Amino acid sequence: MKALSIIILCSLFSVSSEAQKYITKNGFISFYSHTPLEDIKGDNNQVASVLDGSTGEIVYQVLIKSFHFSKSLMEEHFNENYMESEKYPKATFKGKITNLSSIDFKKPGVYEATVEGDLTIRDVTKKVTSNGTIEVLPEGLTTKAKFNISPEDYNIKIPKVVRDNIAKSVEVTIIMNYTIL
Amino acid sequence: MKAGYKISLALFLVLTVTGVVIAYHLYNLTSRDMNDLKADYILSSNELVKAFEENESEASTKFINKVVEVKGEIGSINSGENNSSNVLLKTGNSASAVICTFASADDLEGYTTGEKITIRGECSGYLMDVLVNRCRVIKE
Repeated sequence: MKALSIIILCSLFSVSSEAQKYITKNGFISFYSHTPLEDIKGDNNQVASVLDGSTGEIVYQVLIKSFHFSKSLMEEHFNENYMESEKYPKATFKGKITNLSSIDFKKPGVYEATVEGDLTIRDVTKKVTSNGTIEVLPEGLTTKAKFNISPEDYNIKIPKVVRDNIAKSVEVTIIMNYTIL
Repeated sequence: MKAGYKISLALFLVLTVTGVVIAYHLYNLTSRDMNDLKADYILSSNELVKAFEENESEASTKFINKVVEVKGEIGSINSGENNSSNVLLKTGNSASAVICTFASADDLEGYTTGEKITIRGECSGYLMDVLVNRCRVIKE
């Protein structure tokens, strides 16, 4: 009888410990390039992402054309000259939370997280690591992260005349509000 | 000779100033307001998603960067960063919607889930859903 109740308890535990999958189609990714000559900021509110709480896997997908700028000329140059969004319409990130054991997806709160993975822009894939936070909420998750990438790493050619207008290192901000899948 | 010199100097100045003004104006241009643009395509959210599902490359050539006016039922409204807002329009396929981003949530005041709406915006392409940007509500 005791053995049976332990088995039942264990099976209950294994069911409840099965972590959730989370999804968003309204994620926010922004990049910011700062130089003494000019600040350039592009916002994307249409990021699709899935986070698997049991494996720690995270996938992001964005359309390059969904980045928007305060000035239309910036947007045109971004799409046509730098990102060539017709040729390379999407950017993706596939990665994993490296400190998964320290995050309890069933206990609301803010957790520090480190994510490591492959960022693909313009068909060029590079390893990226970023620190951020995961806030566990009753109805989902909010994740936030900030990291820097270099346009040069992704074969983005910047003409000499505007080289001083675009930062060597661009700051990327990520804010995701996930719901339970 | 002196008069000719003066005229060419004046002409040079006028051209330079005009050039600078035009360049400055171009540099500061903001994106087009959908209220001032005519739709290239008027269709339902269902038709738009179907076009991308059936032939993504063909639909991409047809719709990307074009002004679309999409009619559909509001599946959800999500507020985003910097006062932006996303409206998800339902389609026949439960996994695939039309997601319309508004720069300002003010445009959506009074609208709720389940209502019919017509939205004009610029089509950016297809991810899991068809994405539309710079949206405006079109009142009939």
